[in-house]
Amino acid sequence: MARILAIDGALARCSAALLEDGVLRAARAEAGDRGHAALLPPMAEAVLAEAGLRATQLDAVAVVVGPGGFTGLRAALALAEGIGLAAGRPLIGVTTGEALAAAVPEAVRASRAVWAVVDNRRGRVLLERIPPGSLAATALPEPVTEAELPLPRGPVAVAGDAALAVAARLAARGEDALLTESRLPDAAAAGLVAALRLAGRLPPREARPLYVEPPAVRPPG
Amino acid sequence: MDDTAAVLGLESSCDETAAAVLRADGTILAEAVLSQLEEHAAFGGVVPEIAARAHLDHLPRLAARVMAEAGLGFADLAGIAATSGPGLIGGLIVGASFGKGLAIAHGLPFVAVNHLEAHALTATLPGLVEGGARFPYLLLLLSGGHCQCVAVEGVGHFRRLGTTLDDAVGEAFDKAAKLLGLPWPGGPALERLAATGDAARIRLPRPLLGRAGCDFSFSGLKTAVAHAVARHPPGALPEADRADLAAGFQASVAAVMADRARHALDMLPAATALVVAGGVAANGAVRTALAGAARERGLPMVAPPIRLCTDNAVMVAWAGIERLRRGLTDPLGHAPRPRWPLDQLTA
Repeated sequence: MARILAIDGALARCSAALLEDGVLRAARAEAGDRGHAALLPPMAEAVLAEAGLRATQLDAVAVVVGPGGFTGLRAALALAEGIGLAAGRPLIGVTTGEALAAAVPEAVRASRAVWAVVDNRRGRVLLERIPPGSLAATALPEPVTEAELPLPRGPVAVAGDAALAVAARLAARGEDALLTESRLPDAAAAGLVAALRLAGRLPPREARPLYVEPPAVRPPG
Repeated sequence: MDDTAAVLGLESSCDETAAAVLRADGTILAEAVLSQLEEHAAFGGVVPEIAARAHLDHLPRLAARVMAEAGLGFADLAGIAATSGPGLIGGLIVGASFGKGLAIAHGLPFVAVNHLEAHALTATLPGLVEGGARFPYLLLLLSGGHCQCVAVEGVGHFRRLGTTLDDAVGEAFDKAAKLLGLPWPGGPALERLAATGDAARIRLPRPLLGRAGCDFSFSGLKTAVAHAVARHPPGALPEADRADLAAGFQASVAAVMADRARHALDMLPAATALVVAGGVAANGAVRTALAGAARERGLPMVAPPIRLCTDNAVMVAWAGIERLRRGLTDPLGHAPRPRWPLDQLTA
């Protein structure tokens, strides 16, 4: 039985979920307005308690590594690191795009690539392209302005917190772009991706933050 | 809590990543500090986002290392103590979240430690002072981010007697050092330069000296250094003048410190000791001046060893132990606080 605790704090919502063999046993989610750092730890504790499990009984701790808000990513990653280290359990990284794609209906994903787009708040979106029928991002997220979006090589399903604007932009260009309801990642979806990773059905991914952008600072002078 | 119970302390409020394991009797089982100086040096100061990234990179490894050195498993701990404010929020979130994760894994109590309280309670660490400092005592917290006189009346019981009206004293050292062309962090570099200078040759102001209360102000002193430097073309400040300015600056700070400490001791007549903490407590001239002020009152000056004066996790673990002993723990939903004055502590 594969038991996975999944944690997400990448965008404007944070969540924790407990999955057993790909079946959701417990989940918590909240808008992150009050701060992911205060919300996530009680959520992680609550899903473990609801499933009647101790952290040492987990097979892995999954965490969304980004792209996303730096602070929320770190709140989730540091929490996952703590649980994983003390329980002696491995960490599994899931990208924001992978978690977003996993929440897109399978029938849609079968024929369309998922374009997961995250607003980086610096005038760009971070684009992750996930091929049709897959759940794994094949390349690092690309920072692009909406005006410079690449050309899709077929029909796409657009997900993420910048999906509305990006789907409209693609549609205006005459592309076959379906706007999905998968706008914010969710720990339950991240847990599904992690379960596939744990089973060796997706390539491994370290639980290292995917900031994509360097710190916004320049040396003086 | 019995004496053999052990607590893991985590510190990540500024630019030092630190972890330590202490026994409840004060025995330090393992400690490690990783400075991020090199990561920030090119920017002439701590860059919060760089600091937060570095804390996440280093803290888990550091915690694993001290636990291995202590010969303990996480399940053996009596609690996890993590600095949860005040400080740079990005780093606080990393330390507190990581600590909460460790606590969740084995159902351990979590203590959200106030960084200032941790500095303040270091003096009660057994072995540091014969029998430990006794409450109440006067604490002068002198660092790059803090500059205050605090009456320490017990765990969770603090009264701020005075604070800086502008820059923290460590910040003033850094700014003066920069004006003198010294590398960041400026405190140690300025002290070395001052050693070769004549403090009496260039007289600099001594802000608030003799004034009532025990507040501090350093912006006028810094401006005086800037004016002295500006009398010369850029880069043409004679070496002797540089050294004399450094010595004069340091002498002014030391004199002001001693004066403020005397006033603060007047405000806390029951004080059993004058305790200094923070990175500036490493400065020899400041230490000597404060020791003099304490001696005048027949009080000991307690200055923890330098490694326990600057940011470290031993003090965090110790504050955690003192709180756990009193049954003071924090919920997992405790939000890290970038601002967290000592007089807002619970006990």
